[in-house]
Amino acid sequence: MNKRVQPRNMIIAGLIFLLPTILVVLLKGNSTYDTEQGLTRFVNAFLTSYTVASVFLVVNMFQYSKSRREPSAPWISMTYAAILGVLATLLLTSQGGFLMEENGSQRAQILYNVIHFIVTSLAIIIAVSIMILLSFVNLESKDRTQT
Amino acid sequence: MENDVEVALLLWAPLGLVFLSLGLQFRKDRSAQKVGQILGTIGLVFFAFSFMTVPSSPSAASSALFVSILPALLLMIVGLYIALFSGDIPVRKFSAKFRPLGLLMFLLGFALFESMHWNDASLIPSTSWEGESNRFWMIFRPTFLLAMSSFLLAGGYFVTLIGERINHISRILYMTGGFSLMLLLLSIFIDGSTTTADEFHNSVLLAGSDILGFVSGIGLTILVFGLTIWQFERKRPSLERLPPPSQEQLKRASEIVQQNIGGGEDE
Repeated sequence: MNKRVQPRNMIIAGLIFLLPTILVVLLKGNSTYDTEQGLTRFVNAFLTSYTVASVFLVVNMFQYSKSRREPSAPWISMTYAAILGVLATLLLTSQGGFLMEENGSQRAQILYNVIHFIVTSLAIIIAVSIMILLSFVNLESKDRTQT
Repeated sequence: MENDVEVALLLWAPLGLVFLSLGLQFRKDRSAQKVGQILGTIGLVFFAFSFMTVPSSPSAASSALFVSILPALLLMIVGLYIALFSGDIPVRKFSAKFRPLGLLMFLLGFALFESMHWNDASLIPSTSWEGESNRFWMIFRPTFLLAMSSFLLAGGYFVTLIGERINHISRILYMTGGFSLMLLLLSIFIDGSTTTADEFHNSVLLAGSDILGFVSGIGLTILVFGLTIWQFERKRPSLERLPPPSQEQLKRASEIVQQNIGGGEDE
């Protein structure tokens, strides 16, 4: 009989998900971690993933508008995404101006963010693919489990 | 200016083709999908060579990284694919004899990937770029190991919740996630071939910021578009209520379910 997934289980899963990061922080006390650089990386990752995912979903909204006969759907979603994007950008960049890392110009930083996003996405996608493939590779047939 | 055009044509345009190819895969039209695959392959090949064609561009380091990690990633993914489709499943594609080979390929791929950090031998693909550690390698490896540890450990816990018959999967996920975490922890205490333990520790924490930013950005996008769709869907007239199924329809449905699942009384 399958157990139901309770909110408590979700919290435990979330804590297990964060466990490696917590261990990395706790086990090495004399950290050289630059908090400001970490915040810049977080904001850059946030804005880049928001922009790329929004473009992808806007393209999909055209498909949605065709199948559900809602011609205004892509334009409304685009407006919402743009307003929220501008607000998030203003909020996140108002403290320290443009979010520069080790790049010479704003254009170089934007291009670097795109490459950074691709590298991070690739790492996460491969990790998730390995998890899915490993799960299915080890799925045993019912007959074998019963013996 | 001339260099900018070269970089645009030899690095960014091929990357654009790869994205275009991914977009075309979502189209129902088969010929569009095929064109997408061809464009994607061309884009990937040109991008892979861009560290030689436009080495002056800082982004060319990503191309060098892509070429370096490609053998290890291919071994891992293709190995697991072979192991999966040579297993005891109805859609088997390979003979059962290939299953150990697939698993061995996965292990070899993972070993090759890790040896790139620990060993600087000439036979192993290099992680250096312009005389120092490739900045994108310092993003990829920490993110990969951190994501793998987090997803596999959390996945292992979820699997135990879903059902008792798949406890074996949960053990494998815990073991692999634990192994990945062990490698991550080793790397923050022991120097690698081109990076110090402190540099790597800093990279892991920055990778944590990246993953958090990545997940938050995509989460917010899904929320915005989900709300837009909900706005349209709630205005639509509700579906007409159907009469309850007859005994004959219920019997037919249970037959179909039984044919497809084949579960015993305990399930």
